[in-house]
Amino acid sequence: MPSGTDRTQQDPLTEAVDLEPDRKREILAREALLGRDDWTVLGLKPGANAEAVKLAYFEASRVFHPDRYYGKNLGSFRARLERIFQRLSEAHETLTEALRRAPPPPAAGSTHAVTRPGQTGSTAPVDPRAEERRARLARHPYLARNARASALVEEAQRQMKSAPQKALHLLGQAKTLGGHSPKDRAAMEAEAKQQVAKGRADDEMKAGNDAAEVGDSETAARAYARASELDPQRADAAYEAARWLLRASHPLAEARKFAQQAVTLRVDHLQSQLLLAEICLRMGMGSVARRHLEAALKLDPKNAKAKTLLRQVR
Amino acid sequence: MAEQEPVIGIDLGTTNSVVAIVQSGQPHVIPNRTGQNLTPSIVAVTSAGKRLVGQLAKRQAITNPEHTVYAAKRLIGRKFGSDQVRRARESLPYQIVCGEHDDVRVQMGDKAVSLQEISAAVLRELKLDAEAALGRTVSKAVVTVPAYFNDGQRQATKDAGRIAGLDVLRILNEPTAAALAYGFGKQVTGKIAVFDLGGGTLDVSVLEVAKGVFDVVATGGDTYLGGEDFDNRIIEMLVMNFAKEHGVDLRKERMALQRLKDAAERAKIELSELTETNINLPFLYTPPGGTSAIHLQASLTRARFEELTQDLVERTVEIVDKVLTEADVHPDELREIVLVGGMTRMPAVQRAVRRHFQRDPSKGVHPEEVVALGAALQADALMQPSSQVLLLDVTPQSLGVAIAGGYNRVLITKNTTVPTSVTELFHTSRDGQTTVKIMVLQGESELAHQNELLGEFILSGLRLAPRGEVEIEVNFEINSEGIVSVSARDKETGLEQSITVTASGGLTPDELKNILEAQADSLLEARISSEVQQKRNALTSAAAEVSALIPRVRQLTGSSEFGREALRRAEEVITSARAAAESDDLAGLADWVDQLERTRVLFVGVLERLGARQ
Repeated sequence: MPSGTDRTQQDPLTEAVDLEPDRKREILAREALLGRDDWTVLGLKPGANAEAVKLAYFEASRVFHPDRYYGKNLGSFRARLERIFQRLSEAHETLTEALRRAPPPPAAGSTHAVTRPGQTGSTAPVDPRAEERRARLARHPYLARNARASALVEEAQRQMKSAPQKALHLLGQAKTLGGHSPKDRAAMEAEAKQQVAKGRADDEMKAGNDAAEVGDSETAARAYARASELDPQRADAAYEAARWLLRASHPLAEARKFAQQAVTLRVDHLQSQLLLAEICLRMGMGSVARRHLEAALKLDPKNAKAKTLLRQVR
Repeated sequence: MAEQEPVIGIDLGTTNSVVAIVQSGQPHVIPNRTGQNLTPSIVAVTSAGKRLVGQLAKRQAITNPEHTVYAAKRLIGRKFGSDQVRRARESLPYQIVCGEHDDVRVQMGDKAVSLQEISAAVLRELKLDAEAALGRTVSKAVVTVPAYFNDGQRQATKDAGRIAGLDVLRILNEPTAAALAYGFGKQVTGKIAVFDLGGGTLDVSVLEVAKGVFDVVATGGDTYLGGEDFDNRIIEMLVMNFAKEHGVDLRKERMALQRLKDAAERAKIELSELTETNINLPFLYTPPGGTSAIHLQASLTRARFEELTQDLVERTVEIVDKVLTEADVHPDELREIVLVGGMTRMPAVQRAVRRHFQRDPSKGVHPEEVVALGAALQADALMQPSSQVLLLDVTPQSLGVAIAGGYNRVLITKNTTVPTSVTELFHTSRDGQTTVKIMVLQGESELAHQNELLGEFILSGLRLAPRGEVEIEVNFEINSEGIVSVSARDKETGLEQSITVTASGGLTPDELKNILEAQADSLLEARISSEVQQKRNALTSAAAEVSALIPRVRQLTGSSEFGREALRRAEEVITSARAAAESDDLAGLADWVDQLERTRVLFVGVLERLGARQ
């Protein structure tokens, strides 16, 4: 950094500037830490979470951002503040990026993973008399519809895995009857729809593979894209969709969407990272490309393509 | 403590401007002397030579189209020869002329007035409004500009302030200002996106907010996408229909064009509320020769209007997408989406945003006032040490230097939080080079001439040495005021040169290309990595190998059609590859090495087969 050092032969604490002695000391103390690791620079203990990193950065910015001293005579302290703030924002960015990639394992007590409500078909022991009572009630004209609906829902549950389309149909019937457990039914309906979509995604994947084999990139791209849309959790579909959309010269933004999806689903999939980086690069989004190339190089430090592309970014 | 001098915030808009101030900790808009919150950004000179600003200027625009200047913001800080200005000239009723430094001027009567002066007239009007309302002199302001404004446009806006007698404390990005005003006093924590579609520009910003600190994560946009483009679609349609019906091109009629413009804007605004509107322009055109005047009567439905502007709406969403991707922000991470700018009242725009983000945009901000309120908040934050608001802003465009081969080497990438500084080592690019020219570029293109030239300087007195031996350290710095300074130092001698970038070059790409070509001998060269050097060596030896094979291949196959073709191709590859060896583009080099290798394999194969047969 130019200047700064030569001007401070005298003790900076005696420099005549518009700063309280305490503030001067605070600035000098933080400046002395700039060579240390990112955590220390931000005044944190290693291992803090992303939220703590952000808050520490914001708190420190309140003290060290030059705008907090707008219009004041700062002398050598202006350069110090700018230096400190730049280092703070670098530390914040590095740590945030690192924590984003690999969030620390949640502490035992603080998981807020939602446990999904059990999906019917509970195996709890049933009181036989209660069973009989229910059957008798079910015969009551007002309740017969309920019983019929329940039977349909149960049948649907059985068909769910093997014939989701059929299950969906049964659930639809149950719906028109107005079953007694609309919540369960809605959940099952959603599941059935998902299963159907998965099945169709399988078909689209096959169609995509066939087209890809004969080199029909347009058809392949469309089929893979449909597969990925039907089953957004399918990483291979998203990856292939991106790859073939790119090959079939579709708009880059479209290919990027799928590549991004592929990377989100499989962060550790080298080819997806490379593909996304390549697309971003072509779209002129160098900084994003760089991030993904760096991720790719973490997965395979020797990867030649990643290195080549990274050089293009720079 | 004596009461501090008031500092105002000004949203200097393409169509309307707003002034605001923070009083007792609360920001509010200062109405102008006619009681309106919005002052049209219009300046006119009457035939009597009187200068009118704002509402008064707008009112007489129809009868005085040639001396009524609107949308000055689209032209400020641009070069006369630029594409944007050329395009604007076609649709503006007032006359634009070229200034001395290829800057844009407006012919008003017998004077060619600079855009800075036009904007200054608007700023002075707002200053007077504020002084009238506060009963005190006002001489300090924070002024907003679109995030996508380059350094030249920012400087020009600052100059306009100076001409108006305002010390511009800070140039603030409009979406950032909007976010400040939106987040102020609310306990919002998390990322928010601001979608600002105004009269002339689209700006998108993503900010992270917590406890009064506003951290800009990313910003981007399009300086040529705004409400006026939507108006123009209506104008085009009307002009086309009129031409079909009456065989008259209204675009040549300045007065008619001005009336069309007004009517189109009104129709557009009405269609945000209504599903159909009428456009009536009686006596729009009087044919020469005294025949009776022609009226224009048309109706426009919302559906038709949305059809006409569908691509514009789609483009807005694409730009949002690009900004989010660059920031690596997933739409799900956004806590709020704030819509700013009059154009966001259009239902189709709201629908597109809703569809894209799968949620409703935030309500409760006044889209036309929020930017000025944010500017006032930032002004207050700078002047009051007790303020809770702190803005961590970014540089909206990348900064770099031109390097040998006509490339741009970026040193500070866009969206870097300022203040910041970067130092990088470069080489001389030629044997015996004793001077280097440091050309400072702003923009995202890899090709130097497609960026904006911010400034240039020469570092001379370098040691006579072969190419690449003299090392030059280049330092880029953006301080907290947003001022860019660049210095270059000869590592060996400690010789240093620097500039503070103040004025903009704002050259057209062609001009810049010519300059770059003229300077080709004195540019810097990026340090060549060992990888590039290896590839270069590989390329040279592969080319030599293939060349060595050519005489034998010619001898054996030169008589056949295939042979002649293959030889011609091989020679081409060698020539191009040798030319490419000069570049330090690793991927390109690798490509040529591959091609040479393929040719070599082909030739060796041919020679083996034919050689064996003979």
